[in-house]
Amino acid sequence: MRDFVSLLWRPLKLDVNVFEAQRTSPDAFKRAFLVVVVVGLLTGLFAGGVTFGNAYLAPDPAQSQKEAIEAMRPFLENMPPETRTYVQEGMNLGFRIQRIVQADRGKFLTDQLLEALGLWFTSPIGYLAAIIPFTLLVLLIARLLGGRASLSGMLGCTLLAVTPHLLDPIGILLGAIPFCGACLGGIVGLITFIWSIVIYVVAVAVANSFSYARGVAAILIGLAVSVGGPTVLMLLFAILMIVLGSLAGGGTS
Amino acid sequence: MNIVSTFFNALFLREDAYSRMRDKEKGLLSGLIMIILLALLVSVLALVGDMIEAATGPDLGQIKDAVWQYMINSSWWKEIPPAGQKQTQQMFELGWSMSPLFGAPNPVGKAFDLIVRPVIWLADWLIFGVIAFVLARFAFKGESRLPTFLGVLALAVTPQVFQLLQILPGVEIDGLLLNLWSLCCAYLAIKVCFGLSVARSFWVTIVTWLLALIPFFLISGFFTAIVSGVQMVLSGLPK
Repeated sequence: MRDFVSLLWRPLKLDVNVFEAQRTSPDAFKRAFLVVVVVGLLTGLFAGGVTFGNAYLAPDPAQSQKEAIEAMRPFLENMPPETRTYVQEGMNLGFRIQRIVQADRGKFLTDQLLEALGLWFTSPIGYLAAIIPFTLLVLLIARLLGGRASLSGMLGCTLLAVTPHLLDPIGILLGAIPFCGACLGGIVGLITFIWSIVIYVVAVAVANSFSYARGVAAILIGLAVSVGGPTVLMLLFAILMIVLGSLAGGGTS
Repeated sequence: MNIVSTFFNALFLREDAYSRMRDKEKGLLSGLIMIILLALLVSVLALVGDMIEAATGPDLGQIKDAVWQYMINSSWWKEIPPAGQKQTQQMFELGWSMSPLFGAPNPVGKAFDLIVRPVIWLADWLIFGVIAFVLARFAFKGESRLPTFLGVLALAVTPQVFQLLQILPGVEIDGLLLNLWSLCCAYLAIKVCFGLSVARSFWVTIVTWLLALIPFFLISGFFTAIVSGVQMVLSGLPK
């Protein structure tokens, strides 16, 4: 247990020893996976709770319809009559669907509770889906740059970059403060993001037993490939379509 | 119990789990049973999740009626000529019939998965296994037997265990993540089974993955040709 808590805590302090231990441990991936599960479930509990809380506290459809019409009135009055009709018809459809969805409150809340549970349990999967594909690409590039990381060691080190996301609930709470909330929540989000990137750089360098400069290079090349790769493929596909189109056009003329 | 620990150690990419499966007697049979059981379990839980979603979710028929009433009573509907209105109605009906593709509950389709999923997973395992075996054995001079390798390769199905979460309504698991994770397991299976180097195992895995796409395209092309043929017959022969 103590060992596991240190695995949650020490990456935040950029403690190189924890990454070195992960690099050589046969259970590196399993241990890091458990870290992701704990972080994901803690932050997901909050996100799921907010989702269900919003549904539970959702106003009566008739009342929310009235409020929306009042809020929209200044905009509607300044619209050309034809556009206003379209917008009002669309709004009425939205209200009607909202009434259908919330017709049976018990059923609606059960649905929302199950959705919140789904959101909660799949939060760790979200982190894994965000990190693992990119890490596999970075691993390939790192090996080309002389890195020596194993599959399990690389994933075991880099997945620890999720630990700063323990701050996410604080960001959500701050975001709820009126006026300055969005700004404070954004600052916390930015800190989490930068902290995660720094941990990721250290993790890549230590897992591959090379310098931080090479770690940064592997990540930057990985970013370039993951952004540029699809663009190049789309361009090639477009060129192929143009060539095929012109060949077909030439054949019929 | 032993097979359960092998399953989870393989999921977390421990090489000793793959070695244990390689040295296991009747590894092929264990692998076969593992794939079928997991496919059935995933399909059953996905069906239960879909039924719960159908029971607790809003009435989609009522929503469909509301949208249709909105369309025919809206001001722009009258501007469409009658032929266009009929075509729009057909497109509307077609769109709603395709709603299960976009997450709407479809217990009948999910029940069908009880048969389809195990068949697809087994076909995937066999096609990938045979191609990887031929490449590793003959192109890269690795040493192993096909039944032994197929037994070890069955461990590549382990990441699909996350699909069990589909018992919760509306849960979708990222396909790219599971496919890449499975590919990592397949890489370890090839490396451990044939005793190849890291680079050779990597190339066998990647080339096999690319080659395994060919049968997939051939089969889907075959079915597309059949469906197009049936559509042509139903709508009259081409002039």
